[in-house]
Amino acid sequence: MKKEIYLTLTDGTVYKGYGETETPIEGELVFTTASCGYPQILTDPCHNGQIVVFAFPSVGIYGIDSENLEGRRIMARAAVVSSLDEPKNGRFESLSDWSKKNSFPLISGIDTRQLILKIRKHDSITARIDFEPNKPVAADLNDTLVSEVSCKEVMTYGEGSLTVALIDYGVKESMIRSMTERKCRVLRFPNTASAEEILASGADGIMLSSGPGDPAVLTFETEQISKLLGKKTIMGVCMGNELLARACGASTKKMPFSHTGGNLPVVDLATGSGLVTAQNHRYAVDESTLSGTGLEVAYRHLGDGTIEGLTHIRYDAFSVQFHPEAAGWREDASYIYDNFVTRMQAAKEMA
Amino acid sequence: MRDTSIKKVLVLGSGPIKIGQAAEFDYAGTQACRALKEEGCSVVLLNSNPATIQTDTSVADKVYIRPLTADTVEDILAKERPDGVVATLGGQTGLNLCMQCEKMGMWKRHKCRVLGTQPDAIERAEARGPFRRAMVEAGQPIIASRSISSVAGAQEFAMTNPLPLILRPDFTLGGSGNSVVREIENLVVQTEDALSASPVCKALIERYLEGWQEIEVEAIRDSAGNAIAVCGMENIDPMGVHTGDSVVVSPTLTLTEKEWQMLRGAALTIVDKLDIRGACNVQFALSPDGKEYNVIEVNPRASRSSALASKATGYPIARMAAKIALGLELTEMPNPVTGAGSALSEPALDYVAIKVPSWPFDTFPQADPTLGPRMKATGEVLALAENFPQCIEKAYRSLANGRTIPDRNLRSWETRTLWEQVTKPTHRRFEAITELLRRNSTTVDEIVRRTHIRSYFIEQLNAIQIAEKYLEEDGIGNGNFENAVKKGFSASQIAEAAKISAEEVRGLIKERGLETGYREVDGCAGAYTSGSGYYYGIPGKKDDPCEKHSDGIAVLGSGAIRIAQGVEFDYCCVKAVEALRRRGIRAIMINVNPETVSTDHDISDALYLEPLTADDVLPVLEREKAAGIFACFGGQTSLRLGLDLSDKGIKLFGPNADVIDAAEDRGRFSRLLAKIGVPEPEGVDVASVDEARAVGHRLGYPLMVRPSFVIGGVAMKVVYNETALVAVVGEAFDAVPGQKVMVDRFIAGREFECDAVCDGEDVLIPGIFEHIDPSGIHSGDSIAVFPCVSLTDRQCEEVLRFVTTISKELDVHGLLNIQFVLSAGVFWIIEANPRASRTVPIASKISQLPLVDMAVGVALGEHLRDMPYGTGLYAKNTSWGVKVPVFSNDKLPGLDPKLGPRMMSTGESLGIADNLADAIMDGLNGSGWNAPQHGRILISIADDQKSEAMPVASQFKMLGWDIDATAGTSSYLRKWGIESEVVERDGLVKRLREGKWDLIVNIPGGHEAHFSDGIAIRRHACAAGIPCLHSIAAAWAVAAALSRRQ
Repeated sequence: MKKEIYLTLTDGTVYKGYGETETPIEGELVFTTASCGYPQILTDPCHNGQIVVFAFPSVGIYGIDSENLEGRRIMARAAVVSSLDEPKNGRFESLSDWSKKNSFPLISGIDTRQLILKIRKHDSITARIDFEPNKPVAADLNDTLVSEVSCKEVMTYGEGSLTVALIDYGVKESMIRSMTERKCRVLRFPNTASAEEILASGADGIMLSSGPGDPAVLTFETEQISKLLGKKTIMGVCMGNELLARACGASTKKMPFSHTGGNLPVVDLATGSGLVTAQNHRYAVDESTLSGTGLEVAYRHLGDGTIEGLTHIRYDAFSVQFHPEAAGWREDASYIYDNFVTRMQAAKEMA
Repeated sequence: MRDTSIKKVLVLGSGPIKIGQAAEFDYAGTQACRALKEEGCSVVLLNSNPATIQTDTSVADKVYIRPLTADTVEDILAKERPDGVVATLGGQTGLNLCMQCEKMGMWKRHKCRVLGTQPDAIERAEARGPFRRAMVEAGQPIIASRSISSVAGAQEFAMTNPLPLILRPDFTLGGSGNSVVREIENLVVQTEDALSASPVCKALIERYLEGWQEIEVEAIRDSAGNAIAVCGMENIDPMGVHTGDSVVVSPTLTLTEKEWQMLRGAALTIVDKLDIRGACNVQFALSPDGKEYNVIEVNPRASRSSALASKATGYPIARMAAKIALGLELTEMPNPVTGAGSALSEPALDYVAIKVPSWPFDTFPQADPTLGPRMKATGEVLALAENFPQCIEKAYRSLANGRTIPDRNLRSWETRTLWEQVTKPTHRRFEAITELLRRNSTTVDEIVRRTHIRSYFIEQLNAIQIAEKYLEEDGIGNGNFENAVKKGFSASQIAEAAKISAEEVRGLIKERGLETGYREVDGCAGAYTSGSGYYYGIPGKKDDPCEKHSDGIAVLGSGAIRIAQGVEFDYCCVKAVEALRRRGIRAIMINVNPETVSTDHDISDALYLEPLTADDVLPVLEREKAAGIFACFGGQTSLRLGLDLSDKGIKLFGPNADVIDAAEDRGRFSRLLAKIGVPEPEGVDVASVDEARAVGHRLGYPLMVRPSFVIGGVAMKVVYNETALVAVVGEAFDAVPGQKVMVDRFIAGREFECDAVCDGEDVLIPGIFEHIDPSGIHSGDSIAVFPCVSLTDRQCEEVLRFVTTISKELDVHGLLNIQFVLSAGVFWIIEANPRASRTVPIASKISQLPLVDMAVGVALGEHLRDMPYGTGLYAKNTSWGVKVPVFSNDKLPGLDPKLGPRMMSTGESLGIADNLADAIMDGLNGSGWNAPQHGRILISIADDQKSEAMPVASQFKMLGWDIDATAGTSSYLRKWGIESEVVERDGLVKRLREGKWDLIVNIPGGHEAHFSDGIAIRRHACAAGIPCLHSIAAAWAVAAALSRRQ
C-alpha cells in the first residue's frame, strides 16, 4: 500500500502525495522543466540540499541509465513528481527501485503543475516532507552544501599534455569528461585546497566547477581564487562564474527565480550568436558591482538579461554561468571548453 | 536583422490536397502570410487549392488561384514584381516549383530573391548524392544506400548488402512508391515499380533497419546560424511504417538524456551543415540499444511534422520560418508562445502529445489497410494529456469514427486475425494488441519481441485493458472508477464497461471531484505565464488559474481530414470564428486536427484541443459558460456532435436539431417536398434488407441507395440489380445499425448544387454550381462550373423559388446546400443540407461574398436585407470558375478508382477565368496536368454510350491529337471513318506507365462486371498523373479548353 506523505511549504500550503522517507526532510524547493534526464538531474551536486520538482508529469519511463550519472550518489534531498512510471521490462533499473535502494525520498501524486505555478513567483521557498503536514523549521543550510559534495582528496582523471586543476565545489561528472575528452589530465581538488597547493601541482589551467548554494558563504574558496588570478588560465562554470566575479570584487545576488532547464537562450556578446543552454543556477552576478573589477559581460540571458558569462580584461580568466557540456552530450556550446584548452595551450607555449 | 529591402513577397502554396500532402500546408502558408504582413510586407499568394484559408483575401494581399506551374510564376513575377519568394512553406510541391524556376533562371531574371533556405541548400538536402556528401562531411552516419536508375544498379547493390532492403523513389510525395524487398526474387519487380513511381525515374536503394526506432527532430535555424530543436518526436511504430502512418508521441518518452542529446545535437549539426534558414525536419533511425543512429531523411522545409510540432508545443514554426526568411534572427524575436523572453528557447513540455493518423479504410473497405513505407493516411488528430494512456485514449476518441482503445468490436475477432493486424501492421494494430492482451493470449514481452515496439508503450496498453477489466468484473468501487478516469476513459467508455449509464458516470465524476481541469499550453512547462489561450483537459486535475469567461460561442471543428471532409470545413470554421470575433463575441474553437489553421491558437479567443465527443466537449462548454455552439461549419462530424450536445441541452446556433432532422430524415423531407410541390425521385425508407428487396421489385432498376446518416456518401451507391442492392443495404445497416436507408429511383440527368444563405425570410444564392459529370458521380468528384452555364433565366428563377420555399419550410437561419438534378426539363431534389458544404469556400471566393460571415450573422439574428449584398440569385459574378477534383487513389492499393456516388477525391483545384475554356484549362493544370498542344488520347467507352464517342473523337482529331481506343470503341469509330489505333489489353498498363497517353476518356457502362479493364486503366492513369475523364461531357469540356489555346 502506498504511504501518504505531506509536502508543506513555508507559507503553510500543504500538498498530499505518496512516498517514503526515513525522517522528515527539509530543503529548498526548485523545479526542472526537462522531460528526460532525471537520473542526471538527481545526481547533480548542484541540487544538494534541494527538493527537486519535476514539471514533466510522467517521470521514470526508461529507468536509470546508471553509467551516465553526474555524481557518485543522489545529491538532491528529495524529488517530487506528478506520477511515477515504473518500467517492468525496461532496459534499466526503475527509478523507484533505485530510490528505495538509496533511501531517497521520492514523492509522487502531487499536481506539480499547480505547485510550479505557485513557486515560480517566489524567490525562494522551503518545504518539508513529513508524514504530518508540518511547516519547515530549518534555518539556511547554505554553509555546508559545498563541503558535503566536494571530494575529500585530490583525484586524477585522464591523460594528456595539459593538466587542469579542477576545484570541486560540486562538480558534475560530465564536466570532468569534457576535459578528459579534450586530452587533458584532470586533477580534482577539494574545495578546501589552498591556492598554493593548486599552483604546486603544476597545472596549466584552473577550472572552477559548479556547485550548490550561495557563493557568498564561500569566503575561503573566493580568497584562493583571488590568489590564482593572473597565475594561470582560469575558467569558471556555473558557480565558478559567481566565484570568479566575487574573487574580482563583484557581488552576487539571489535571482527572482532560478534558471533551470536545458532550453535557455543565451547570446554570446562577442559574436552576437545565440546559444540554447543548459542552466541550473539560483544566484547570479550583480551587474551593478562589476565596474572596476576588470570583468566584462561576455554572455547574457536573452530573456531577462542576466549575466551568463564573464571575461577578464587583464587576466587570462573567463567564466560561464551555464553548463557548456549540459549532460555531456551536447555540442552547441562545447566550443567554450575548446577555447579553454586553446588558451591553456597558448599560455603554456608563452611560458 | 530584418531585410528592409524586401517589401513584396510571393508565397508558393502546395496545391490540391493529396495523401502525403494535406492541410498542414494551408496552416503553414497561412501562418507565413500573416507573419509576412506583420512585418509590413505585401503578400502575393499562389495556390490552386480553393478550399484553403490562405487563398482568402484576408490572409494575403493578392491571391492567385492558379496552377502551380513555372508559367504561372513567370506571369506573376512580371505583373507583381515581388522582391522575394518564400517556397519552403508549400510542401514538396512548392519546393519543387521553386527549384524548377531556379533552374530556369527565372528568379534572377525577375530580380526576385529566394528567401529563407537557399536553392543550393535545398539541392544539398534533396538530391541524394550531394546530401550524402554533406552528411559524410558533417560526420553524420547514413545507411548504406545507392541511387539507382536501373534494375542492374539495384542488383549490384543487393550483392553486397544484406536483406531486407528498402527502395525509395526520388522526388515523390509522402514516401509514395517506397517498398521493402524481403526476398531476392522480388527485387526486379519491386525495383521496376519504384523507378516508375519516380518522376525522374530514379530511386534510392538502402539497407532496411528493421526494429530500429524512428525519431524525428524538428529544428529551426536562422541566417546567422542560431538554431533550436523545437521538439523531438518518437514514432511508436518502429522503422518500416511511414512516419505519416505512425502513431507519434512528443516529447520522446523512452529515450535517455544521452540518446536524446545525441540526436538533438546531430539535428543541429545537420541544419548547420546544410545552411538551413527556416524550418527543417530530420528523421533518424535509432538502434535498439540506443548506441547507434543513422540519418534517414532531411526535409529542408516546413512539413507535416512541423505542423505537428507547432501544435504539440505551441511554438509556431511556419511563422518563425517566414520571419527568418526576411532576415530576422531568433535572438532578435520574442518567444512566440509566452510573448516574453526569447524566440531562441526550446519549448519544454509538461504534458504528453500523441498524434494518431486517420485512414480512409472505413470509407474504402477494399483498400489494403497494411501499413508500410507508403503513406496511406489522409489526415491526423492530436491529443494532449498528462500521460501516455490518457493521451492515447483521447487521441483515439478524437478520430471521431467510433474507434477506442480497447475496442469492444474486436472481441468477436479470431485471435489469428488479431495477430495479423499486429505482425503485418494495419491501422487496427494497437486495438488488436490491446485485445490480445485482454484475452491473455499473449504477454507484453511477446508483443515487444514480435513488433519491436518499445515495451513501455505495450505496458501502457496492457494497463488500459486491465483498467477496463476491473470495471467490467469488479464494478466502479475499489478505486476502479478513479483509475479508469485517470487512464483517460470517457464517461461513455466507463459506462459501457461498468454497465451503468453515462449520466450516472458524469454524476460520479462530479461527486468524486474528478472533473476535467484545463491547462494552458505555454511552451515552458509552467515556468512563465503565457496567455496563449490554447487549452487541453486533464481529468481529475485543477484548472490553471484563469480569468472567468461567459457567453462565448464555440465552433465545433471537423476533426481529421478525411475523404469527403477536407480542409474546406476548416475554412468555414475559421471564417466563423473570425465572424464571431468581428462581432465582439468570445470565439471558442474546439478541434483536434494539428494540420489546420483552426488549431492555430491565435485565430480564436480560446482553443481547446479536445476530442469531438459530447463527453469531452460538455465540460469545456461548462467551464466557458458558453452561450451555445455552431455545429454547422465542421461538416458531418461536427453536425453529429452538435445533435448529441443539443440532446443534452446545449443551444445550437444556426439550424437547430429539429431543422437538421427535418432535412436529414428522408421521410420528413419527402413530406415537406410533397407539400411544396417540388419533385424528388420516388423512393422509400427501408429498415431491413427484405424491405429493400421489395422496393427493388416495385420500382425496378437502377436504384440509388442512400443511408440517412452519411459522410461523403459512405455506403451510397447506384445499383443495377438485386444482388448489388442487398450487398449495399446490408453494409449500411452494419455501419449504423437501426438507421433508415432510402432507396430511390436513380434519375439520370445533369446535376447542380447551390449554397444559399437564408434568414428565414430571404435567401441569397451566390451562384449555382453545374456539374460537368452526370448524376451518379459524387458531387465532390465531379468537375463543376460556377456559376452555371446552361440554365435558362426561367430555370434559374425556378431554382431560386424552390430554394426559398425549402429554406422557409425548414426555417433555416444560416447556410443551406441543395443538390438537384435536371432531367427532361424537370428539377428533382436530391438532397438538402442545412450546413456549410464543400463548395462554400469556392462560391465565396468567386462571388467574393463573405458567405460564412453572413451565415453567422443571420444565425445571430441579423437580416440579409440589412446587409449590403442583396437577396435572390447573386448576379454580379464576373468570372467563371471550374473546380477539378484531385485523387490519391494511387496511394491506396486495392481500391477501384471508378467514380460513383461515393466520394473518392482528396482535393481539388480551381481555375478562374473570364471564359469557361480557360478556366477549365487552368483547373486541369492546377490539378497537375501539363496539357500538350498535340497529344495522344485513349478512349474506352461502354457499349451503351458508344454512339456519343464520335463527336468527341472527331473533335480531338481536329485538334490534331492522335487517338487510341480499346477494341470495341475503335471499331465503332471506324464506322465513322475516324482512324484510331487499337490498344491491346496486354501491355496497356505498361504503356500507361510509360506515359504514352496525355488524356484518357474512360466511360464504364452500367454493369459492374464490365469494369475489370477499367480498374487497371483508372488506377494507373491516376498514378501517372494523367487525367482520366469519366463522362462525354467532361471530354467535350476539355476539348473546348484545348481548342481555345490554338
